[in-house]
Amino acid sequence: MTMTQKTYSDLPAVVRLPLYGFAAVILALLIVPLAAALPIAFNAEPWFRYPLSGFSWRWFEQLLSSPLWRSAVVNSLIIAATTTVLATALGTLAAVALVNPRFRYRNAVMALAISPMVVPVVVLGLGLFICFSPLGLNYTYLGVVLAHTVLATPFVVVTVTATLTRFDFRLMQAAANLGAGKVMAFRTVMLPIISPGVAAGAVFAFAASFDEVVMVLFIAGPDQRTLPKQMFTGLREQLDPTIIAAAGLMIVLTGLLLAVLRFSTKKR
Amino acid sequence: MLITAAQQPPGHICLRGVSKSYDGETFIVRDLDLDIEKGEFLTLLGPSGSGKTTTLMMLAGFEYPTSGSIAFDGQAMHDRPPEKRDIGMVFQNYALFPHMSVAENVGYSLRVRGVDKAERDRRVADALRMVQLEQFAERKPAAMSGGQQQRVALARALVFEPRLVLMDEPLGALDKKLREDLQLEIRHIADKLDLTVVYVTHDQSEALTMSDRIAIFNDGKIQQIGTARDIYIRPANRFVASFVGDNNCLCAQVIAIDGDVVRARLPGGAVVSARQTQHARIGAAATISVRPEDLHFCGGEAEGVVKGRVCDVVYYGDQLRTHVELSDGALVVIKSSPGAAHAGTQVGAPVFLSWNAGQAWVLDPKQANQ
Ligand SMILES: Nc1ncnc2c1ncn2[C@@H]1O[C@H](COP(=O)(O)OP(=O)(O)OP(=O)(O)O)[C@@H](O)[C@H]1O
Ligand SMILES: [Mg+2]
Repeated sequence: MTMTQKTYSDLPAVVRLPLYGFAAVILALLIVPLAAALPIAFNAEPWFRYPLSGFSWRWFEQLLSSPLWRSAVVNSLIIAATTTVLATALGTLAAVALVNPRFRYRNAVMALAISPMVVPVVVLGLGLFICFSPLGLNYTYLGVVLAHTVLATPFVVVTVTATLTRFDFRLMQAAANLGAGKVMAFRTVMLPIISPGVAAGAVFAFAASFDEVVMVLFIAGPDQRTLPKQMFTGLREQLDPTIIAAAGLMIVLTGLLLAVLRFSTKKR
Repeated sequence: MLITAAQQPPGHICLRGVSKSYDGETFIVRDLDLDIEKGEFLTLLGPSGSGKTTTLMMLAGFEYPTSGSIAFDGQAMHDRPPEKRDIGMVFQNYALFPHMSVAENVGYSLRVRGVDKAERDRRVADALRMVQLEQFAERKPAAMSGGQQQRVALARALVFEPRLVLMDEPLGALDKKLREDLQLEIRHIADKLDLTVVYVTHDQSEALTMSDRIAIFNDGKIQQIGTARDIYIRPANRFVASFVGDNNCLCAQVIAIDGDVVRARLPGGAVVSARQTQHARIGAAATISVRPEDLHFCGGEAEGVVKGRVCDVVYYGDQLRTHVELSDGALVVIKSSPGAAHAGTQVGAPVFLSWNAGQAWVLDPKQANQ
């Protein structure tokens, strides 16, 4: 009896070919829209149409030189970075509590903590708008950051919880036994071990804030115009390929973050 | 006998009336009184679920007693968090920090105590030398064998000179040879550093060879505490007699107490003698316990002799074990040297057994659940 692992190529063609076809369709569904839209960012003419009338960087230049677009990029970066820090800290702490079997209300709190993932953002945005009014948080950076933190924290909670289920909590007992207080043990033992999960959560949190538009439509004022908001306005007011260039920039940035994450976790 | 606080030498640990229940109904540890002396190697031995780990966890501070008190040198300890207790612990699965090197693991306790780097390095090197792992200082624990990881865990628990060292079945995951080597090594280090150790095991021979004193646990209670010899030679009750070493436990009824000797009738009618203990009451049921090596074959029926039939003879090289069914159906084992008389006894043959009254004990009767 041979012990070789069965692979897809061992399957009969009648099964194999439809399987490959199915996989190809799904992948195409993910890639084709991007492949269709992104090249337009390099179109020499301001039209959304093929064939391209020539190659040019003009829409990228426009993106970085127009004050409107440039401030949108800067706003998005500031808001996403602050959100990432807040959401990562809150989400990690919440996850630590949520995996503790002695925490009696963990199921209820878990449901609440990840509810922003399932509640329609329009409803959340409206709710936050109403709550922020008396507090004067609408049309402020802080308001937008808080709104994004609500959306981004669940991503951190989910990734860190998943990492913590594989964490050996006896290590925390060992640390306490060796004289480390709770904070010290968290910082020197738990955090380094779960850091890949925390970093993954942070990247998701960044991405969640960076391409968010509904909350921004409710909460942000003219001073907090972010990249997605500017793209939306662009769609209505003066449609040109700068939007696609902006989208390309977002994809590259998020992709870079993911690559850094992959690299840093592989190295360990 | 309880020692008063004034008499306590330094390093003394004292548990009084300690009970623990997780659910408020069943008690895992009941009303435990225990004194641990400075420099003592105490082993907790008992069947699974008898509350050994729970007792250790209460000493370490990971569980709090439901009632009772724990004191070190007369200082109340039971509500102090684990990080303020200054107790070293070797966990069963070692619980080494996987992201730190061996040296960082060992130096962790010194680092959190703010010991400066030079001093720390020196003490870590000393500790690693003690467990013969100097050359592995920079390795990660995952790249070490089970026995080596065990030694790292030991060095890590000792480097900050704790006033008490706890070990919960530290050798449970290792093979027999390595276990025996490490038993000697641990005992040697404990003697050299004059450590106070509480060691948990369910391996009898480990307990007998390593300990100054052994506490036999069952059902959340200490059944007997004493030296290995005390416990082996003079079991306090039926549980200890049957749990530690091999023992023949015969049901009997006490018919007379004559000074130091108790006379009791076995169900088969034979009248036998044993040493007097607090369990003996005239007319009451009791257990007579005799070690297999203290049973002898004898020539024929006489006073104090029990009749039986050989049902199995097992040869162990250096000894012979003869299994005998008594006339009342009870089974006993006799250990003898292969060259002794009666060594050639055939299966099925009738035999007569006797023992010296001084080597049998009257213990509490068999309970319905035993
Ligand atoms: N956290 C807990 N919650 C509820 N019950 C527990 C808990 N920890 C232990 N127990 C129960 O307490 C009893 C004694 O457990 P303990 O671990 O002290 O036994 P042990 O003597 O160490 O046994 P072993 O030799 O199997 O390790 C067991 O019946 C166990 O189920
Ligand atoms: Mg145990």
